[in-house]
Amino acid sequence: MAINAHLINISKKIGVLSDPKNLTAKAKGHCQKIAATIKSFTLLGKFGLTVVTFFVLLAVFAPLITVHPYDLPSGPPLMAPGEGHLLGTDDLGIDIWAQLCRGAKISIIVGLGTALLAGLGGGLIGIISGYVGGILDKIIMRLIDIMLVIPDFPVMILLAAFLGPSLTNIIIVLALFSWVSSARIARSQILMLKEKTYIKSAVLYGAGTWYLMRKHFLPEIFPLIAVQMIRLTGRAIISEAGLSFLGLGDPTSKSWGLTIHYATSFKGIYYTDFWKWWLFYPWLFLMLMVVSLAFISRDLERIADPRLRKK
Amino acid sequence: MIRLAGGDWGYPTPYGLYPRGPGSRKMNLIFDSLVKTDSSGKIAPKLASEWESSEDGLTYTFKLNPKAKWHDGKPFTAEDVVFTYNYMKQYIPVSGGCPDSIKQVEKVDDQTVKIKIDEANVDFLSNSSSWIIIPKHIWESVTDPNNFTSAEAAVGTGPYKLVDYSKEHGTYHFVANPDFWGSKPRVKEIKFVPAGETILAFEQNEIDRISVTPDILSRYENNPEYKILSYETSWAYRLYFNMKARPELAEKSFRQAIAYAIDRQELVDKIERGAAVPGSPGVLHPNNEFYNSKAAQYTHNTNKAKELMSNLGYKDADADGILKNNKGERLSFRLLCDDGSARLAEVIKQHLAQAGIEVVINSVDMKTRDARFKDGDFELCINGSGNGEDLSELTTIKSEGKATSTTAQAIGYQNTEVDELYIAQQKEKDPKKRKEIMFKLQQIVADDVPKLTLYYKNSLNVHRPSVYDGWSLDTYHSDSRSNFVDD
Repeated sequence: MAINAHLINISKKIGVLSDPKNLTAKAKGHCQKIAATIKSFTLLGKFGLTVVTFFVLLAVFAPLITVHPYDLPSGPPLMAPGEGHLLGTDDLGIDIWAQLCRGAKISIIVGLGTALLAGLGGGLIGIISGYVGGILDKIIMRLIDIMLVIPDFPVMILLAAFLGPSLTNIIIVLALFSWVSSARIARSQILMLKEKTYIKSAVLYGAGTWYLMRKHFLPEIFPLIAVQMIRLTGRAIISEAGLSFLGLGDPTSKSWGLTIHYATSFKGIYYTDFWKWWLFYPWLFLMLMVVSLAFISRDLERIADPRLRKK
Repeated sequence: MIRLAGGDWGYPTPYGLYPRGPGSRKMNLIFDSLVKTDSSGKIAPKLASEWESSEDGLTYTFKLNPKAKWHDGKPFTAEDVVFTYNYMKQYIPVSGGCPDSIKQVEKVDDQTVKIKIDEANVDFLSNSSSWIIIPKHIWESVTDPNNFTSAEAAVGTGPYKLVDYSKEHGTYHFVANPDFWGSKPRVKEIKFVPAGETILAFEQNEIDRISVTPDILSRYENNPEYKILSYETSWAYRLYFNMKARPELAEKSFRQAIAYAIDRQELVDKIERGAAVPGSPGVLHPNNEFYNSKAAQYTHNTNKAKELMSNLGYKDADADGILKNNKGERLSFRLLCDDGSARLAEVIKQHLAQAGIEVVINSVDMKTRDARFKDGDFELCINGSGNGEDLSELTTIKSEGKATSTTAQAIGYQNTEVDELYIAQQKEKDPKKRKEIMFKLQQIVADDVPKLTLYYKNSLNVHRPSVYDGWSLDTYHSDSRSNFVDD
């Protein structure tokens, strides 16, 4: 229902529909489309979707499903998984399960934040570049070329160290290096669409820029950008974990990367039993999340990209 | 050959090194001072074979060791000592500088120097033990000593020669000096090699000695292949207050409240897994011969901390757990730490939160922390070092000629009584009376809490006796000179 209401809202804003009856039908159509998309997923894609949904639920309902606080000690340090502490405790006596639930939230914030910022921002830049053309296009394309040859992770490390550790900074830094691919995809689509006869005839019939954008460009480009965004989400999560692992994250955020960082910097952890819970579970969560996102994006790409579909 | 875990600590000269223990200890393999302080605290000969002080304690005459030679074969003479003094006055070294109290150094003959100091000080000789002598014939033409890192910069009189150094890899390679003036070095070669995970490197025979935590000690116990040496050290983590940046920290009872709020025993148990001694507010380690056990201890007591805070007028009016001052501003501090002490900072944050003080952790790399600490760019700071025990940090008196320092003064703290007592103990020749003064000094310092010692680290070191068994029982530093040579 909430989704329906949301769609109604969006539709209203776009102003495509005014008849409420028509509206629910349209919303139903959307739902059916989504269901159909999911149905056409491979087994791995469905698995990915389940895992990601699980993590999203974990992040949203973290305060309800964890007994212990994620930032305060709630038991003796380095307790093995068992009664009271599902996944044991870390060196400060903080519950690992509570930390990982909190980490899921951080991963999703970073992943979605970066994907939205880079995907939409990059998409917009690409559309402008392709549509306006001329000197602006040239400038943007050269900028993209420069961004492409800069090795991103070392610069990210530098920027993260320079801007200081915080979640917002990490999202900004990641977005700065991830908008390029979305921009290129959007631009190439626009360049192709611009030359299509139906667009040309629409222009001849007096269609304005915004009309074209809304009616023709966005619907064509959005699926491709969406695929790109899912891929970015995975990359952002792994980059955040990487930066945190190197000690460049917010030292008190409980992201998965940071938990792994503290576990691995615990001297001689591999010669104790502690890694079996303190290191293993955050690694498992991180791996599941990233692999699942990769599965989803692979399936979506297959659906969105007609060239791949033919194969 | 001995291999130890590497790391870049700069070029091992008084001007090129990074001013922390590992840097100085590498320099001490190459260079010598006039005298040294042995493990029992007695002054022993190094480049000076004998010395005497005048009646008034203002003039010291050193007889130099005639056998001492520079690594390049040139003889070591009184000229070098005079030159080093003048050079270090002109260019302040990063570490190994001459004591500030020296007024004049003059050559009597090739093997004798006379040093005049401005005030009698019982610690003069022990202060001189960190003063590094450099060769005149090499340094006299050097005008940019901090960037002088050619091979000849590492020419000293000490037991080891530097044959290779790589800043990028953090590696050093030392070989024994066959012409060393003292006894023959017991180890021919010392290599500092890259080792990410030291325990793994030790197990794979890549390095020969490591320090371990109590959790993995059982791997090496009751095994004839390994030997464990344990040390109680005075290397301590301390909490520093910047009373200039945050005037509320200048209030004595505010700092006392912080001392009550932090459970130092829990820090020891959690961060060091029990291998440490909780810090004493009087700064000195309980093992120190001058330690005063009667000084205030501030046993963990959150309620007492809250009481002190409320006496100062801090109230939690809106009951959100954070105290506010009379203007309604939240009591929040930025705590600067390096990434090695981020975990420690997190526990302190938890403890202070219980007393209603909010802490925002700012974790940076060690060298940035050191630089910001030196510049006073912090509100609260966790810093650790092995030489904060002489209390000079708490006085307004400068102790040593150093261009940079990792242990600065307690910013904004000034207590003339502390200054006076510190000077008095420096001059006191009678050990019993000196102890009395030190006791009094600790009582005042513990009452004032100008810095809070969190804990002193213990060290558990493991080595293979079959490879080398000459490790010193007096120092836990594996790169310390006393492991390899008797002077």
